[in-house]
Amino acid sequence: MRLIHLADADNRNSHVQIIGVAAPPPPRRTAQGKPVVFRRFLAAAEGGIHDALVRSLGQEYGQALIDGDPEVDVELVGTPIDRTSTVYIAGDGEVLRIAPRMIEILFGPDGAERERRDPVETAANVQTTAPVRWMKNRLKRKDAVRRFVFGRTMQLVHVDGLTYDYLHGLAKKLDDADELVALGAGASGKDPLVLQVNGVPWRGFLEGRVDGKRYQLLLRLSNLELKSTEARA
Amino acid sequence: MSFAGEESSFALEKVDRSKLYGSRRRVAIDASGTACTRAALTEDGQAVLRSGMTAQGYFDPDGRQVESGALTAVDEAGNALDLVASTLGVAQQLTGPIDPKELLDLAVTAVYRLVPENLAPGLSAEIAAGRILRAPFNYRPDYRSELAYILQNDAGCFAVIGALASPTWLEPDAPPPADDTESDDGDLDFEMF
Repeated sequence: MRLIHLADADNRNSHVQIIGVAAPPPPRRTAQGKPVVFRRFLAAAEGGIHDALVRSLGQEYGQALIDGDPEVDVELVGTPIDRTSTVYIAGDGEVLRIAPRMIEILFGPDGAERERRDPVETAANVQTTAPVRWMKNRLKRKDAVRRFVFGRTMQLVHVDGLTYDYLHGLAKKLDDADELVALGAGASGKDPLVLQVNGVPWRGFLEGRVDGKRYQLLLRLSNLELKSTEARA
Repeated sequence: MSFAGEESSFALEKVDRSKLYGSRRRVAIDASGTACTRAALTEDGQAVLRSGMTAQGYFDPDGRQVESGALTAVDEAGNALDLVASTLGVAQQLTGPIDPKELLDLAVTAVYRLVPENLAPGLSAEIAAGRILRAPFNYRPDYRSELAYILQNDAGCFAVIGALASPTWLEPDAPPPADDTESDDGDLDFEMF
């Protein structure tokens, strides 16, 4: 069960459950009335990929493929592939037996490389001793949707009667005001929200809806503003 | 787009996060300082799958591959679905204004900046007033029709594309809803890998 440590505008804090609001599932694919499955499979053995064919047949190997299908290994091609593990191939073409050094490359909006550095690990920060706090920034719903793209939504779920009262009250306060409130994490209460280690840093906004005793308290997450790249340039 | 009996047309320009803010990528380096390439080791350890060695496709219950042109689709109840044509280049009826809550519930799949080629006065006034309109949208033919929400702000006109999701109404004594997304890695920052 995933939890968030939340504090409201009055610094009343609680640990409550968060669940994802899933996008509608895509239609199920069929063929001639029968279900089909999407599967990855082996399309070429090691000797059948471009580099190996160049080594064995030279650069102009097209006619050789037509004449003799040397790239097709009938024993292997078509084999379904299920689970795999990531491995790294060194510059000399050999599989690395030890963990490689990792570097992080930063690119600017123009795509040009700006910096190389040792990787910076990002810790999750929504379930720590410092609660995720309400910030002063509030936005009307009509303004929020014209300013941010909300790429992910989590729903806050009560875990007992007390947290039901707490979350229902927050949802009602926001619904009545027709507002979203910005949330901040970390000791400063202003950091973006990171839901898991090395997760996406999100700007979080809380939205509430109430229908009698029923409620929805929704954490709207955004990492994209509605801006044009021209304005940025 | 058609609104109040007038047609407008726009060019689409995808809003790309990396073009707004930049991006970061993690790269593995070998002992000589050369960037490594990624490959996949099969579960039995017998094969290293390098780039170009795998493909993917649909297979029927007998294990035969199905060509993409022979694929159909059904809804959750098993009813056959019709293929929905692409909406590009075909005037779509705009409806609304919509409640902003509807756009908040959109599971977003793409965002486009709309560059007006011919913006009718009626539509121009409607979105300039902060109202949001909705139209069917399919970039390419598909068995699911998406929605486009057309809006305007200080940076221009935008279309936010997606399908509507439905958060659960929570009640005091009802069991909590299942978290179908708990095991997914949709929140992992893939720029990190």
